[in-house]
Parts: sequence; C-alpha cells; structure tokens
Amino acid sequence: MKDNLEKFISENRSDFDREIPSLKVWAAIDKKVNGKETQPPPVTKSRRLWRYSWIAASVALLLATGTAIGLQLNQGESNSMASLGDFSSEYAEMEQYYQSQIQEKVAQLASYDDNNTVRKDLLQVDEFMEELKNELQEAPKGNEEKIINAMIHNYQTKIDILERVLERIQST
Amino acid sequence: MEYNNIHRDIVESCKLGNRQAQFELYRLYSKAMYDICLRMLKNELDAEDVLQNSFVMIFSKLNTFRYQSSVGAWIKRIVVNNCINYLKKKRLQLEELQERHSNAAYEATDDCGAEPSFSVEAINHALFQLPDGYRVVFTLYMLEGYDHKEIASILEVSEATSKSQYSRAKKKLKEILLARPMASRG
Repeated sequence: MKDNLEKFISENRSDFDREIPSLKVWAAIDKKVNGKETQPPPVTKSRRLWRYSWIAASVALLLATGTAIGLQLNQGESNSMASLGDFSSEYAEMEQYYQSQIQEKVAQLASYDDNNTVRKDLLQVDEFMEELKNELQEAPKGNEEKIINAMIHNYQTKIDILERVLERIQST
Repeated sequence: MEYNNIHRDIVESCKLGNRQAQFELYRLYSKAMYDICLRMLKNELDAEDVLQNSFVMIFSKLNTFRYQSSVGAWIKRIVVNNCINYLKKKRLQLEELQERHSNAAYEATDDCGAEPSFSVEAINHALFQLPDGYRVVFTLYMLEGYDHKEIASILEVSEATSKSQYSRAKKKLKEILLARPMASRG
C-alpha cells in the first residue's frame, strides 16, 4: 500500500531522470576501452574486414591526391552540415577529440603507397558518407539530442572505417 | 528465465569489440545510469567519474555476461555497486546502516495528517539533503525498484535494516519537504 509520496514518485518516475551525462564521458570510455592497440584482433577479423573491403586503402588515395572529396573526409563535417561545436563548448571538445582521431589515422594511411584498384572504392566511401549526412539533415528540427547522437555516430563510423582500412593495409 | 532478445545483437557486437555497438549500448543506458550516480553521489563530477569507470568495467566484463538477467539489470547492478563503493571509500555516512534497533519492527509514524505537496524538483532537492545511508536506501527502493532483499544483499546488511532505514528515510524526506518555505512549494 503506497502512501502519497510513494504514489507521486511512481507516477512521475520518468521525470526524475532529467540529466544527461556530458559527452566527454563517452570520449573517455572510448579511449580506455578502444585506445589500446595491443589488443589481440578478434577471431572474426577477416569477416569484419570483408564487409569493408570495398573501402580498403581508398582513404590513402584520398589523401595522396588531395582531392576535394579527400579533403572533405579529412576535415570532418565542414560544409553544409552543422558541427557539434554549434551546440556547446563541451560538444566542441568532443568534436575536437574525434577530429584529431580521424586526422591521426588519416595521417597514418598517407604513409602507405596508394593502389589503383582503390580508386573506385574511394567513390563508395563518399557515397556512404553522403548518406550519413543526408540522414542527418533530414532529422526533424529541434530534435537536438537525436542529431547529436547521429553526429557522434558519424564520427564513430569514420574512425571505424579508417581503422579497418589501416588494419587491412597493415596485414597485406 | 533467459533474457535472450533484449539488445542481444548489440551486446554480442560489443563482445566482438565493435565500437558502434559499444556506443549504442552506452547511448541506451547512460542517461538512466548517470541519474542513478547523480542521486547517489550528489554531484556531477563524482557521478561522471563513476559512470565512466562503470562503463569501462562493463565493456571489459561483458564477455562474462550470459543473459541470466536483462543486460540493463546487469549494467545497473554494476553501476549501483560502484556508487556504493565510492561512497564507502569516502567514508560517508553509511555507518547508520549498521545501527542496532531495539525495536525490530520499527514503523515510521505518520506525521499527524500534514502532508507536503510534492514536486519532482522538491523531492530531488530533499533527497540531496538526506544523509547518504538514507538516500541510498530510499533511492534503491523507490526509484530503482530493488526490493529489500536485493538492497540488503547490495549493502551487505540485513533485510530488516533495509526496511527500517527505508522507513526512516521516508519520514525524514517528508520532514524536509514540509519544512520548505511556502513560496517555493511545487
């Protein structure tokens, strides 16, 4: 049998969860969990790489040629899309972290020789990125949290792709 | 009972070290978990600290998770335990949980009819004013849905202690709510 206090809390339970943790927390978790390169590759590595084989080494070419598309990948979200930093300085810090991650990996890739078969993969990378961007722009206005999550997802995806490309290059 | 389907694909991807999945899992639970930390620890810095350490622990222990409970319950248990350890480390007032009660069947007495008007803001504010032991028990019972048996196990006290602590916490909470100046009552 609940008294009035307990009843009130039960009925309004969702209103008690209002705070959102700063995105710095995720950045720190990500760093600690995924930052170490000494982790042994998972058993299904070859299967994962197969999914991304169509982008294998394409980023190297992007950099080598320094095309507009390559620059786009390099700089992160510069053109028509809002940047995370537009939302607050905390998010800007987050964005900086991701962009520096991306730049670091892109720089690593630049040190490898490019490969001609990679040229068409390049186009597919950009198609993929364009899709992500469009998804973001179609997000309803005022739905900020969703947009932010999507942007973070976008950065995550880029980093993921770059890592797989690197893995692939380093293993051939 | 096996909780097979709830976020199973995400969990399995996380086990393989898939970063997208990790972020997805974090995104699904971080808000609720952060709020737990905030309620238990009372400040954002500590809450973020414990949230971060908890998720690092969660991802590293995920391989041991075998769906004996829902992944949410498993995550929550880790977070709650970390909050309590954090409080213990700071030697904050969890000692009152060890009190011996002369009256084993302690029941909170109703304040003669006077009931405060409730608001989420007032209750949150009042919760922060409770001593840690009371706040932890009250939060775990009333907000996080643990029963006294589970709370007893988490806090390593008897079930009777949990119940009496809860009664006292509730009483104290009401006192604090009643003492709020009229103008700011919700």
